[in-house]
Amino acid sequence: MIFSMLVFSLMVAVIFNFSFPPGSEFIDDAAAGIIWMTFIFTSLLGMSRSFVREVDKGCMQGLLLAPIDRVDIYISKMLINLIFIIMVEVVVVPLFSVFFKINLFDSIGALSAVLLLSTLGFAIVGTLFSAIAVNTRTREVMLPILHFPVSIPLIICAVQATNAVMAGQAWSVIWPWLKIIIAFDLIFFLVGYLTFEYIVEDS
Amino acid sequence: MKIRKLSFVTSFVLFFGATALQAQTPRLMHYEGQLKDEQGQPFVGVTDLVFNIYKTANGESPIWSESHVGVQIENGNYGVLLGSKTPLKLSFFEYYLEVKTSTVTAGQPRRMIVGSGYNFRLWFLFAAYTIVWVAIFIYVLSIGRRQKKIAAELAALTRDTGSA
Amino acid sequence: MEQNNRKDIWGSLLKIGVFVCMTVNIYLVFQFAPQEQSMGHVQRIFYFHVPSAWIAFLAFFVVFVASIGYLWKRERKYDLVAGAAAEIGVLFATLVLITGPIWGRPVWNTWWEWSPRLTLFLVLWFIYIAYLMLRNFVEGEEKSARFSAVFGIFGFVDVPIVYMSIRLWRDIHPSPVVGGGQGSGLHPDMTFTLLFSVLTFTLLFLFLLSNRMKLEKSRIALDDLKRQIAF
Repeated sequence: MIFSMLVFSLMVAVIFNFSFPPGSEFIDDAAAGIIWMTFIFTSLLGMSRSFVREVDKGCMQGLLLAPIDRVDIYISKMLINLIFIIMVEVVVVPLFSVFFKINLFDSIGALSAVLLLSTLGFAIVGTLFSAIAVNTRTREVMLPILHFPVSIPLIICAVQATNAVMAGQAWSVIWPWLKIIIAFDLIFFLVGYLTFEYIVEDS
Repeated sequence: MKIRKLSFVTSFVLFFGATALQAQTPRLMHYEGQLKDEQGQPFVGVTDLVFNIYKTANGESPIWSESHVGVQIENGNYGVLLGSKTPLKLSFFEYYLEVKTSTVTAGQPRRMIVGSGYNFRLWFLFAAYTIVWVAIFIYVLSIGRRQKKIAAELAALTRDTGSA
Repeated sequence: MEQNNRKDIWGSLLKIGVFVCMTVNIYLVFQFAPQEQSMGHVQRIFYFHVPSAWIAFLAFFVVFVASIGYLWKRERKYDLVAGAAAEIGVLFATLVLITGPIWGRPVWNTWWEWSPRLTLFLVLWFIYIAYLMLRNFVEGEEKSARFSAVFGIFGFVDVPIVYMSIRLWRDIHPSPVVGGGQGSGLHPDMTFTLLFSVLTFTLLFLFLLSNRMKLEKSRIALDDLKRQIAF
């Protein structure tokens, strides 16, 4: 799984590169958007599979019968998704830095904070929605349809914050974006925590 | 029955809106013009003015005409209230106004006028208004139609089970 | 039976109320409200645009409350209310998205302006289209109700976050001054017309919702009957 996600994200990155004329200066402004598009598609690829095996092979019954809190299933699935995407990011970000000739390592602290918190938000919403989507008739299509509109604020903030980090702007510029990302994470973790048990009730 | 009632309501709403819009178009229009004589000098004196409105820049018979007799012109400038003699009613399109005088023979070119500065925008208002109500009524109609279909099916089923 | 009759009386009262209010409202919008100085007559779109936006919000709030109600009480009627309200909300959000550009074209000279409010409605529209799709794509009444209730809660909780992030985003890319007139410096007659429009649209919303609910109820009655026959 992690390997196919990695290959997929590298291919997306390279294909995006071809959409600009060689040596274009425009790419500096668009780099944050490209990075995030890559991660969003990759994370959808990974998350759309996160409950498929359980439902198809009947493992979900076993999980639900296990003497654990149902919310723990959600948290562990979410953490696994988060770890997968983070692993992809760890490989892809340095490669981006080389491909697009952008120095991403001057502000590695701020960059990793933005990456970690935004990816967390994606995993929180995406894991819950993949549990819903896996029960619908059109599994792979349903996840992005549910996921994209709800995570639009996260996409806006992640792209803008990454842009600000790459432009080497001050912390005071990045912080308002990060604040919304943190609010998104907290609010939706709470909502997901409260509602997950209703989704897996009898799957 | 219900559909007929609703289409009646729809046409009522549309008609009311259209007349309301029609009422907004100006009945009177203040027109200020300049009159020059054959030498191109501003005209001074008293003259009769005939105003014709056409639909095109160089066409046929005027759709509206009004003559003002004995207009006092100073320094070539005059102002008249169009629509004060013949009722004037223009809709949203642009028109061409021609001015003829009794004393000056040189032709004055037709000038484009619009009903009012805002009137073109009335189309937008009218479009928005129509879309809003038509959408809502189509929705109500579709609910009514589905309801009717279900009711018919329900009635048929009850009859069948009753007879069986 | 008696209860049914009383409901019918309320229904016809509502119908008459909607009709009367709509007639009065058209008069107010086109004749009574004064003409706006800089925008002219086209500003009258305001009296349909703003109430539509309000109804869309109200509808989505109803979806939110009904979703919580369903997860809590597990009664089917909450799910029906949520589905009906979402459909009506999408209808009015669509109207907002159509009338907005029609207003914007003559006033700002562009069909689409990424103004915070319009963008918010675009996002809302996507969220609730997804909601309606989810309702149709899940098999089993009970499952569909549960899933859509969870998504209804997510969608509404998202609204303030979307608005905050769009606001911040528009601060960075400044837009041409967006037409004033909203809220500030309204003529009292304009305010009155606007409030009356909001009242009319609210009655219209209740009328649509009650009709939609009636439809759902007869659909359920039909399904039940079919199931009985099958056994």
